[in-house]
Amino acid sequence: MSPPILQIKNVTKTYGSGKNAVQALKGVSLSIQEGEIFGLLGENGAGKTTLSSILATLHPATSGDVLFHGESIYKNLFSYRKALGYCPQYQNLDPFLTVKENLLFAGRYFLMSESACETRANELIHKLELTRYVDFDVHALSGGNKQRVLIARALMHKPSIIILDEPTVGLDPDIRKKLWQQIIDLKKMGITIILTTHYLDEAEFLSDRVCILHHSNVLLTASITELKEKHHMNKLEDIFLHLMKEQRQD
Amino acid sequence: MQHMPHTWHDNMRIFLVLLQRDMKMLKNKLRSMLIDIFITTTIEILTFGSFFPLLGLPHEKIAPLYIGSAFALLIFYQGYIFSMNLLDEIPHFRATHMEYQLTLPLPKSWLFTEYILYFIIETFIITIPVILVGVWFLQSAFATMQGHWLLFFFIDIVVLVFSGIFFFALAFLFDYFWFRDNIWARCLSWFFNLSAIFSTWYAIQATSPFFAQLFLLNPFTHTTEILRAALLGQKGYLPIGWSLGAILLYSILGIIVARHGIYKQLDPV
Repeated sequence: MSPPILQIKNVTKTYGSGKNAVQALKGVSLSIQEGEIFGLLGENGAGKTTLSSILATLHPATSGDVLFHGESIYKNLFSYRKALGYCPQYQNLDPFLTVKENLLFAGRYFLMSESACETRANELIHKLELTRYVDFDVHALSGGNKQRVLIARALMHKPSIIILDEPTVGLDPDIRKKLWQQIIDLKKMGITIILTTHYLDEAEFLSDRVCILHHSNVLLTASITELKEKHHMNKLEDIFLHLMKEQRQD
Repeated sequence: MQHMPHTWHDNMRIFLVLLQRDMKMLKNKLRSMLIDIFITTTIEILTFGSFFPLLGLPHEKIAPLYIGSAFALLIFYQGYIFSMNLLDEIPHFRATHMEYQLTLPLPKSWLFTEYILYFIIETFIITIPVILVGVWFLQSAFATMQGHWLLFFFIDIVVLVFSGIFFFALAFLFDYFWFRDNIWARCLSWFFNLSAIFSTWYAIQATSPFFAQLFLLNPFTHTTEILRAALLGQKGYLPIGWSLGAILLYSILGIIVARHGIYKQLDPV
């Protein structure tokens, strides 16, 4: 097995202080392999979005470390950011720019040349089926199209890792399925994908391995096949519900 | 891990792209801005050229009051709008474009310096016609002006830098709802009204030395008086050196407060 692209080592995160302190992560450790789709699952408040935001370098870990190719991301923060594409749960596109301008500026922010920006933007517009909308202002787009522009923006600088935080939340079933295919295409391009999702059918369809977070800690990390064999169940949703029930009984 | 070192030059390139993006936004709204500038300038000239004299404002008081309550106050009002816009961009409850910008390979200090630089550029464009056209149309009121335009432009930039830092810090300092509901009545109205915006500092001192001392603590006293001194001449206004020193001090304080606010609101890496 190749060395992991990302290692999360005993990461804790506490928001607030004193009486109001909330521990959102309690010593999370896990490894993510290069080129895999890694699903982060858990109930509301389990710590998925907190972990995503730490991996996206939006917030620092309170303690612990995140290693990228064996080196702390905080040591070479900007090199790590250049290798990372972050697609947040809620759209945060530039409201003053069109779809294509959003992509072009994303490339420029990551120091791509003007011609490389143009080529890459056209390639992603084609790949993510956004051709009709290139000159649209982003506020005129539907939820599904905004999500695709977000993914395209995160891919502009050719990152080796992309974090997709609830990429299909609130989308119609047919648009969800289309996005799933596009996520699989990203994996075929060799991109490591960290997928945070509430939808267990989505996690089952897309993920090579999943990590279930429970009460701010890692409950388990396993491949879908391993989980099905271990629990003698055919659906990830059933396994998840079974595990949650077990936890409540404990 | 193989990587190219991230250099100062890279930071500068990304900074310039951010500025390029903001200039594009400025270009898109320039027409609307010019209409607003025309309306604002016309109203100020009418007010100071006709209405205030009708109410009994002495001729020699028009110029210092125009610089204070038409020009300087417009800068500060633009600062207030800057704060409000920033408040909406700070990701309190939802994802915002600022959140995306915080994941760029650029130090936070550079990102936020660009925000302030854009405020300076936009506010300069909005406010400078008010003084240039105002002085032209109210020639007789400004006839005795003994300052220098070059000095005035320099001081104007200093005041804009201070205002950018002050209103930036303000947006990060307070809780979202408190800011929205209370900032004007409980903070800004004190800053604006208990300053030398609506009167000269020496006039206040002649009436109440206690209030004059108190007003000296207010940075808006210095920002207004220094603009007057630069354009109208030193006589009758606080010395430029004093005010410049005070503005510098308050700018440094503003940076410290902004830094504290950024960590409090954003919890950034």
